[in-house]
Amino acid sequence: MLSIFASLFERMCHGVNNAGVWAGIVILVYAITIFYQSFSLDYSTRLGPGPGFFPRWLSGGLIALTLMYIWDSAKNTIISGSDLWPTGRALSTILSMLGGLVVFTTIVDYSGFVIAGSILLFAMFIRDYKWYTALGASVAIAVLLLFVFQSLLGVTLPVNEFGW
Amino acid sequence: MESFLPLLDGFATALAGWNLLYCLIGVTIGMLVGILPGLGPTTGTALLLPITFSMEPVPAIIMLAGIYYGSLYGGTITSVLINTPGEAASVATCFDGYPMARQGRAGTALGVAAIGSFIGGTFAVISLVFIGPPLAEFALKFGPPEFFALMVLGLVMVVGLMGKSIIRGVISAVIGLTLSLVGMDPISGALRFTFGELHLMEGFDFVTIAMGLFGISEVLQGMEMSMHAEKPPKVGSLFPRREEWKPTLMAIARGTGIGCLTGLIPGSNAVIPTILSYTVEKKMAKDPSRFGKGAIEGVAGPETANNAYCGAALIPLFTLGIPSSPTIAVLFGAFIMHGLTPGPALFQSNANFVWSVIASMFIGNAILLIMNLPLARMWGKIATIPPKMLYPAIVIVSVLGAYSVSGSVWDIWVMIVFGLLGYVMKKLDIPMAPVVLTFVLGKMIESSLLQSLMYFKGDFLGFFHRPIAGTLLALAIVLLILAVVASVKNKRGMLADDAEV
Repeated sequence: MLSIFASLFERMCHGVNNAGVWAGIVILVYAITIFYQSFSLDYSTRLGPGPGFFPRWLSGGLIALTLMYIWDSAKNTIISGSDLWPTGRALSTILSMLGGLVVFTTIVDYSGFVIAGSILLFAMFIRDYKWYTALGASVAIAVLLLFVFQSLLGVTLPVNEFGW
Repeated sequence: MESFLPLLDGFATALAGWNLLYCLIGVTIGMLVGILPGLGPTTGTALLLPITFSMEPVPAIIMLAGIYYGSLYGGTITSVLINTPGEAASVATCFDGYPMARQGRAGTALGVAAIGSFIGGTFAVISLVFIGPPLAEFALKFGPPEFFALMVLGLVMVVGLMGKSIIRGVISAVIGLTLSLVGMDPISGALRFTFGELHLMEGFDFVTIAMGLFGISEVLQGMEMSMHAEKPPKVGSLFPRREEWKPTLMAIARGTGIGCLTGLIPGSNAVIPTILSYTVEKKMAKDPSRFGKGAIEGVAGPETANNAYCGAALIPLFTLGIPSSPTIAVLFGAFIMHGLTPGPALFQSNANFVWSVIASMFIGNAILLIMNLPLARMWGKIATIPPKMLYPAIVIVSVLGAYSVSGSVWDIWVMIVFGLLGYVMKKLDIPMAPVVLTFVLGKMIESSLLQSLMYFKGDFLGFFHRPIAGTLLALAIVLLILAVVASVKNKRGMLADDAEV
C-alpha cells in the first residue's frame, strides 16, 4: 500500500507542470471534504440508510476515481499547465470579461442594473471598438435589456433608488 | 389509434393564439442559435430557460422544445453556406454541403436538408405518438428498484459514450451527483453540505449550473479563438435534379431510421446519428468517391438523422423520465421548474400538456420547413454577426438569467464559478454532459436507492431478485465493463465529445 502511495507521489512530482494532476488534486480535496463531512450525518436510521449513506459511498468512490485520474494524468502528460490558460490578446480579452463580471456582481445591488450592466458590456466592447462607440452601445443595450426584461418579460432586475 | 383523439386535443391547444406564437418564437430562436457559431442547442435552451419563469408550462416547454429542434435546422445553413457548422450535429453536413455550395448548388443542399429534416423530425414525433403511451403504461409498473436500475443504466450509457476516457466520464458523473447532495436530504429532511450558507439550503439551482457550464464556458472558449465572418455564396435552385430524387429519398429514409434508433439510447448525442448516417450513405453509394465533393446523399442522410434523433430523444424523457442528452437534461430541468415530473405518470396526470407539446412539434417542423426553403439566404446573412458582438450579448443574457433564478447575486457568482469550471473541464477533456445529467437526476437516484434498500432491508442483492431491475443492472454492469475495455484499448473516438453543447 505504502509503495503505491510512494509511486503516486513520485509521479505527481514529475507532473508539477501537468494540469491534469493539479485538477485531480483539487477534485481530491473536494472529495475528501465531502467524505469527511458525511461522517457528521447519520449513516443509517431505524428505517434503513440515513442521509450520510449515499454521500459517504459517493465521495469514497470519487476519492478512488480521482487517485486513478491523477495516476493516469501523471503517466500520460496530456495538457501542461501553460496550455490551460491562453496568452496575449486572448488572455486579456478573457480577463476583461471576468473582471467585468466580478465588478457587475459586486456593485449591481447598489448601483442598479443599468450602471453595472453598462460597465460589464463596456469591459467586453472596449477591446474591439472605439471608447465612445463602446460606451454608447453598452448604455443603450443595458437600458434596452432593462426595458425588455422588466417591462415585457416581468423579470425583476436590481435597480437603484432612481428605478434603473 | 387511442393516441389520435388526445393528439387532436393537443393540436387544439398548440394552435391556440399564444401557444402558436411561442412555438414560432421558439423555432426562430432555435434557428438563430443553430446558425450562430459558438451557440448550440444546450447553450441556447439553458440561456433562455429563465425567460420562461413567468410563463405557463405549456407555452414554456413548447418554446424551449422549439429552440431545441429549431437549432438543428439552423446549423445546416452555415455548414452549407460558409463551411462553419453552427452546432456540432451539422459537422457532417459540411463534408458535402459546402462543396455543393461552391458548385453553385447551395440552394439544393439547403432544400434537401430542409425536406429531410422535416421528414425525419415529423417521423420521430409520430414514433413518440405511438411508442410513448404504451411505453409509459409499461413503466407505470416500475417501483423504486426498477427506476434506480434504469437510471443507473442510463448513466452508465452516458459515461460509457461521452468523453475520451472512462475515468474522466465517471468522475464527471460523480461530481454531478455530489453537487445534487447539497441542501435538504429528500428522505430525512436533514441539511447536508451547506456549510452554514443560507443560499445552499435549497441546493444549487440547475439553471445557474447549466448556464455556467454551457453558456459562460462556451464564451470563454470562443474568446480564445478569433473567428471571422465569411460572405455566403448565392443560394440558387432549392430542389434536386430529377435523377437525384431517388437516392435523396432513400438517404432520407435511412437517416430517419438511424436517427430514431439513436435517439432512444441514453448518452447518445446528435452527432452520432449524423456520422453513422454519413458512413452508411458512403458505404451504400455506387460511387463513394463522390463523397466529400458534393454528394447529395451526404447532405440528405445526416441532416435527416439529426432531426429524427432530436424527436426520438424525447421518448425516454416523456415516458421514463430519463434525459438522454445534455439538451434533454435542460428540458428535464424546465419540466421540474414548471412543477411537472417527466416520466410515465406524465401521460396520465398531464395528458393535455404532453399532447400539446407533441402537437406543437408537428407544427414547429412545418414552420421550420417554410422558414428554411424560401428564406435560406436571409438566415445565411445572420451567420456573419461577428463574435465580438455576439459574446457580450450571451454574457449579459446569462447574467440576467442567473439573477432571475432567485433575485440574488449569489446565483451570478455560482454561474461564474461553474463557467470557469466548465472552461477548465473542456481544456482537460473532462466531459461536462455527465455533470448536468447526474445533477438533474441526483435526488431521484438517491431517493429510489434508499427506498429500495429500505424495502430490501439493506440487502443490495435484492435488486437482482426483481426481473426488470436485475436485468437492467446486469446490463449496466456489462456495458460498464465494455466501456472500460474500450477505454483501455483506446477505442473511444470522435463520437465521444460533448458534442451537443
